[in-house]
Amino acid sequence: MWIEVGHFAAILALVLSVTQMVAPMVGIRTGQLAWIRVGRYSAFAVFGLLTIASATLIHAFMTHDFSVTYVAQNSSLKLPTFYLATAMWGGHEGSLLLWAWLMSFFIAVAAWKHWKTHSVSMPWVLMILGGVTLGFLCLVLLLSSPFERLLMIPPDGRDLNPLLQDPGMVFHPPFLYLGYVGFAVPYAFAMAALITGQAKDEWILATRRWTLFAWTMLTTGIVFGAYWAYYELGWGGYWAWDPVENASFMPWLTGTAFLHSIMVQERRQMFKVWNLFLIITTFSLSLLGTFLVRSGVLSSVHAFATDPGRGMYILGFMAVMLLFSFGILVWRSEALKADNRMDAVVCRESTFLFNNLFLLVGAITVLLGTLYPLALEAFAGAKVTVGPPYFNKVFIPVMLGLLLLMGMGPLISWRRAAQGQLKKNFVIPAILAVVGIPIALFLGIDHPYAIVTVMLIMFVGSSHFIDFKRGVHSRMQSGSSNPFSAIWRMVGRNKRRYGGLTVHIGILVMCAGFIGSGMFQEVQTVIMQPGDKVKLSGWELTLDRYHKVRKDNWTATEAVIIAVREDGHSVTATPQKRKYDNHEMETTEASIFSYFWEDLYVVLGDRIPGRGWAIKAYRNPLIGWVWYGSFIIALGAIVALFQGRRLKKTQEAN
Amino acid sequence: MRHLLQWSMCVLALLVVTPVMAQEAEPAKQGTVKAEDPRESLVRKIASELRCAVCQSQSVYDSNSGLAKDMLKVVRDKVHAGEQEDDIRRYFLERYGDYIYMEPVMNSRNMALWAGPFAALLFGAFGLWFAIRNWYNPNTKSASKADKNSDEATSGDMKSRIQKELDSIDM
Repeated sequence: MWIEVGHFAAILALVLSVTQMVAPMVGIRTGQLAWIRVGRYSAFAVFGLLTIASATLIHAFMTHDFSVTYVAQNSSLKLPTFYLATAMWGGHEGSLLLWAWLMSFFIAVAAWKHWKTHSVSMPWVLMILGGVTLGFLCLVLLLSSPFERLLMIPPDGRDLNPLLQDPGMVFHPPFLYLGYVGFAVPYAFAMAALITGQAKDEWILATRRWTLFAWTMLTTGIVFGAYWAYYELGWGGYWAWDPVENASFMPWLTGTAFLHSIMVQERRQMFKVWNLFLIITTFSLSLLGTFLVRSGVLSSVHAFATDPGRGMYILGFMAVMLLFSFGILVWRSEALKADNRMDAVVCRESTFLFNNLFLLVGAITVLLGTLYPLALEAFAGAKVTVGPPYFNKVFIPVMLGLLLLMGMGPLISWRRAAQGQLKKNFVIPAILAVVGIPIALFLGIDHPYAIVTVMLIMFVGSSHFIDFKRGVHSRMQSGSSNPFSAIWRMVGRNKRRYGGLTVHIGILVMCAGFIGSGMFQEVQTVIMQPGDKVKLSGWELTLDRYHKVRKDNWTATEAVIIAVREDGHSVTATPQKRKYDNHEMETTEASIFSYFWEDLYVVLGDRIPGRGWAIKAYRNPLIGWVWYGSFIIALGAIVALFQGRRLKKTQEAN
Repeated sequence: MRHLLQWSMCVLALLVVTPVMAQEAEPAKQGTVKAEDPRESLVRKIASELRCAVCQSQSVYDSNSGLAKDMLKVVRDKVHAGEQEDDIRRYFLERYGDYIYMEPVMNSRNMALWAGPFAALLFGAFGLWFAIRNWYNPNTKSASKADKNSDEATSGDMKSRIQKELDSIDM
């Protein structure tokens, strides 16, 4: 019964999203505020109704209501409770509902928070976001309804995809969706600003935190995905340039470009059309991501469903959105001419422009690599594989250029950089970058890209350090008694700037992790019987025994391996090969021990009759740094998010 | 237990079959120190640059599918037979076409793929350079004068005033 309530709530939400679109328009036509208010309350109601709809779906999972097709397909009686609740987004239908629900939540928050402050844009914001909700709800209800019932009720469900029965997968999609959906709000404000033609920079100030929040969520979501791939897929790596990974990476790249270039608009009222272009691109790439993942165009681990109808629908939806957005942008671009001119060629504005160029070319590269095989197959009938070696060769040099700019940006002042100052700023970082070459060679790095990366890590690290030190120094001179209070005050007063620089440091830490894990991974693949030993640089692994393990809905063969490090530190690794009751596929459960400098990663392979089992043991140096780096990034982003309304005051003062 | 054993026999298990180990495996000796076959790294290199023909964007080395395991065995046998890396790669090319390589071949068909990003970068950089030069307005003499002043006036008083102003601005 409950699922019908949910279904009905979702249908009502669809109807109300139409109201949310239409009522504000009527309000603008007739000049009556009441109509706009109707739109606002519809937005709240849509959120409430979709909350009910999602709750009933989770309820159906919790109560094992296998008469619901989606529940029968994605859960079973033995599925642990934790995964029962999160199985709601374990499949196509439910994850789209999650998308729509998160979206409605954001819309409700935007309608509530910006109602008074952005009264001019609000009707348009409501209209546009109502349209996006409508698009998604049509997809949920007409083409992939999670509320459908089965006529023949099965005694047990088909169980959740084993790869998704993992904590990493529980957090990966919601964070990613929060990122995707979060870009919808700045997008709507941008479009509203374009349409009304009034609010020139208002939309950027209004949505600064939205953008930063969406970016943070997207970053976290991508990292969760990488972490999941690292410890669930059992291949020792974390990023494979899988089309679905690429799909989430593209909006990240353009979103990062947007985050940087809006700073120029805030300070210098430049690049207005460019910023609009970037936010439209970012949001449409989020939609493209959904299309690629959900249409089954690229089938991969993530694409559970193959249904061209859905693909066509999302493609159509995207086409409407792109035509609408870019149409208005072209129509209005005359009104958006920059007020300011550049005062110099070398200035922070230029570095931001080039930052945007590199990020955009990066996004183009990923897009090209992802879509090229599809295009070639569709138009030339030929097949081609674009795998990691391509991206490593093409994408990495582009990102190295970006890294260089990252080091230069903070040292170049706004408006114009004085020549003398410039030279003084760059001497030390440049020397340190050169020192990076022997360091890299000493560490045994021989790949040119990696050597350049080490140089750039030195360069960017030192330039950020110098910037930081200079700030503290001048504050010490102007009154602060001790360096800590100086740092505290400096960061507190400029949360955004220092939050941003912290993010940069996080990126550097990640880069170190990329080099370490990418270039110095060591593997031993051996067949072992109990008692056998294998050496892996600094570790000695002894196989103790094999045994069977039975838990919840799976049975596994587990190897018990004692690993002893040179210094006597000892751990017991228990890699498993799991067979889930209702699935043919076996999953590998790697046994991972993380340390500051390295990870020990043991995977149980196949059984070789009469000779034992294949064991793969990896030593992954610095891989933890990828995750530490992402923590630092999240930390920096949170610091920057705390920058409150001061921005507005200074804007008014100016 | 039995059932599982049989099942895993079926899936089997072509991974890591090396002659070296075959010799020492027969009487399951206790406590042997095992080491990877030195040729395995070449196998790994070749197999991770070949695409598993039935998977999506997974290499032969990383995939768990039956076909990938067969292909891996072919690679391993050939390496152990002493064939050259290029010959092994060509062997797969002849059977599957260049689709089998994880790295797209640099030929005229794939020009757009290889040259596209760099062309975009070059084009964009030139475009930006000219745009910036175009926007650059050398008539703002006042700004440069102000700069000179600030260069000279580095006395503490001035510095603290600048810092105070900096505090009130967000960067």
